[in-house]
Amino acid sequence: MSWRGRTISRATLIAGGFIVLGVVLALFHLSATTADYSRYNIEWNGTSVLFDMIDEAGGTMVTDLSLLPGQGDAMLLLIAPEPGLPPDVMEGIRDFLSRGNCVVIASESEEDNDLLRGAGSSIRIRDASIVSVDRFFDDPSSVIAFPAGDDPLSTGIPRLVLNDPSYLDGGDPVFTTSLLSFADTDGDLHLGRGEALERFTVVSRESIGNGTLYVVSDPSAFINGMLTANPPTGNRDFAARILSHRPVLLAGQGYSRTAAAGPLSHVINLVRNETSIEMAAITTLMLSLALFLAFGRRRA
Amino acid sequence: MRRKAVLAAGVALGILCLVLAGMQAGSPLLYSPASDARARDHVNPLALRTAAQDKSSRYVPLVADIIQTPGSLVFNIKLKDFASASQDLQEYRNSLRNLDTLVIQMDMTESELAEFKRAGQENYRILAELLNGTERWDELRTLEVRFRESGDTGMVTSITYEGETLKRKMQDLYRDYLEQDDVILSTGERFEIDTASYEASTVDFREIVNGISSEMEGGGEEIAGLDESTISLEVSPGRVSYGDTVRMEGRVEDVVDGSPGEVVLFIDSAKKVTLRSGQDGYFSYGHLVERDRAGTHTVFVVRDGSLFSTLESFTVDAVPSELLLGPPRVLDGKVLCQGTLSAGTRPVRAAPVEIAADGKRLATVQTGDDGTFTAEVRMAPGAYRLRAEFQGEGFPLLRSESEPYEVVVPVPPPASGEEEGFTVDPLSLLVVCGFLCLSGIGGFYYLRHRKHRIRLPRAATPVPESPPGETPVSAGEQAPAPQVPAELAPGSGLPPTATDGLEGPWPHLFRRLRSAVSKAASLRYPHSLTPRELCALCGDARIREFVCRFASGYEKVVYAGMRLRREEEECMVQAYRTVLGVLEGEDH
Repeated sequence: MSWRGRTISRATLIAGGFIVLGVVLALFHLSATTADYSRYNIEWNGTSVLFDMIDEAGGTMVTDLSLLPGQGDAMLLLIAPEPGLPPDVMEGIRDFLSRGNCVVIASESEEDNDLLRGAGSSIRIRDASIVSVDRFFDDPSSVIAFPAGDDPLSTGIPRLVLNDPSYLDGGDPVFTTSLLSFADTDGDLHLGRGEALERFTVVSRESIGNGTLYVVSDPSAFINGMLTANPPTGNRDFAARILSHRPVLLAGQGYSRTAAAGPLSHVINLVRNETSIEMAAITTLMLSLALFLAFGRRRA
Repeated sequence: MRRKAVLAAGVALGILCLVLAGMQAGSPLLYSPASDARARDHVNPLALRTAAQDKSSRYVPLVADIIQTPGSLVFNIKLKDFASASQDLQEYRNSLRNLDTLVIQMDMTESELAEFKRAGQENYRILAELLNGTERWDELRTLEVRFRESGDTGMVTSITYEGETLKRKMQDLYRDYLEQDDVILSTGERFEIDTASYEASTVDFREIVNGISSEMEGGGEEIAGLDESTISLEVSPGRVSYGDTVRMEGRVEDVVDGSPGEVVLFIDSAKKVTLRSGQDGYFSYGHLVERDRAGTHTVFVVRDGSLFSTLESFTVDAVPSELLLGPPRVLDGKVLCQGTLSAGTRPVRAAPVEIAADGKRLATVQTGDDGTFTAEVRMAPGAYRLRAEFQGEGFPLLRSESEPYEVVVPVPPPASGEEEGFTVDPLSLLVVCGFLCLSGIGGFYYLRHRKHRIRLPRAATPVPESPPGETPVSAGEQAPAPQVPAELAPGSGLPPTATDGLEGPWPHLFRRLRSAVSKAASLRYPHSLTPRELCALCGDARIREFVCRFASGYEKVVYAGMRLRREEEECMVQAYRTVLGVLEGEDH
């Protein structure tokens, strides 16, 4: 093959192809992450599948949670929030709810009770490892929850499969575990003395102002492994129900572990996600290519 | 230079690949979901198998059955519908068995559900004895009427005593039944099961016991001959527990001529022992309390099948047992468990002790005379929570269990000679040999092929120019060397160029050709023309085909670095000669 009067041998082409492929793979690898709940994590513990669903549903990523849009027609999904949210964010969520919007918070940490308190909710997350005889996978942490009462998010969904969940106090139960469940206080995964069988609420609902707050006591219900499991767990239907619950869908990216990424992947994903930066990057690339071609012609 | 860079990049990539692969060479499996099964917050579902999902729906009806069946069972006993009661009892037993299986499967052996199961099993024992006792009571009533009509006072007394025993047993059973209330009712409440049926069974049970008691009290004064009884009997102490001895002694008053007689001692209306009285009519028996149920037991003696003593009784109290298990020892995949079962300071002998790991029963052993037990259990490699349990069934002892021990059974090391290593596994060996053979064959083929390949001359080979009209070479003769123009032959006077050593004579030939064509076609800047441009600009139809043919070959040799076949080389030389022949012929 010749290019601009120069003949390029086949070996050069093959080696060049390998180098380009290697660089592309390296960039692809570096742009990935293994962080739990990260939307950039395509492994079993990431939430890339959920965020693909959000993209398909026309959802908007929201970084500043203190200024949430929505006039009673919006749903904010906040998966695995970071602890220690500033007061203006909590105030923003409370204001968002009071305008008649809907918020779904998925967290299994008691640290996020501050967020619930700040949002004006009486629901509380209780740190505990719930174990159930009714399990989807052959592991004590795989707990099946069943609909409790009528709710738009649970109607027609036979079960929700959780992955090492906590439980909730307060609010109206939407999904509860079966009676054959217990809080594994001694961590041995066996029902022992002092561990009582009882139903635990894992999805709870509360009306705040004109809006509705849902709390899910296990963000792991939305990880890739749970949404793509075979046979299907039913969690994908639950996620789809949340995403289609209101006309406007917002996905919280500020103070959420779903936004976690490595330093390089952060840069790459920033370029990918911000249109202005993406345009600037493409322009720079094209300019560099043009300069290279012009320089090469002059030298020839 | 470019080729060297490409080669260097290729080698670098190859080394990188080998390093990356080498880092994982020690592991036979690069990745599996199981190796990435757990994170801090969750478990990898890909590493898990799907479980059966209808366990709740199996558990709750079973618990409901166990709570509600006694209602109909006791009611049927009260109605004396013993056939239906037997059927209920059978169903009750099946439910308990299923629950027992589920409790073990679900690893709930230490849970409140396990307590419920034990209460259910105790109730089964109580209800079975209630059914048998009530049936027997009915028989006794029939027999009493018959013997009374026939005037057989001895049999009437015997039946009366047995009735008294039954009455006391029923009272004990009722007391035991009430003891299970807490566990049964609290479980029913937790499982949101209607317990009205069970509560009704308690009322019916009490009515059955009261009915028997009142009938006994009504017939008690009719016991024949007791006032004139010639056999005295004393039982002491009145209350005992495991390991105590109950003294039963008395005297036969009407001993004839000082000759000893025989009396038969009955405990709970069952013949216990035959005693010989002394010359003074005295007899004595010490009963060691070991396998007597907790509760009241009746005692009487009979002489000659017709003379009865008074009916006496003693009460056995249930006391706690203590089960001590020493640290288990793991030897060759077996776990040696040793321990002691005692009641207070007394060893419990001939008692069954269960060895359980993670709630599953592994073995049952009997204690010796000193209350010790030893069990050797073979266990699969793994970690277990081991404990010993004594259920107390058949003993006036409460259930007990030892403190648990965490036991780790290691994976046994492969015995020498049985090692499944790379070197001895026949399949691995076969595969390795196969690869070595293939490599050898490949290398041999390559070398052989390379040896016979035609190596193109790196420098110009002087070939004599063949005269016109040369005859073709006949078959079998060696093919002639490529014919190169005479000016390249040694001594032709042309100086060797710098590139001759790499690309042979071709650059020189090309320059000659380009010069001649440019001159003939009056081309401008002839030295800047590439072979392809020369071909494109050559307008002379006579030579254009040959110029292009030469240019094509020249590109392959010089630019692509290819080695031409002999025929192609000859073709290029022929083209060169033709072009120069035409053009130089014009000049001359």
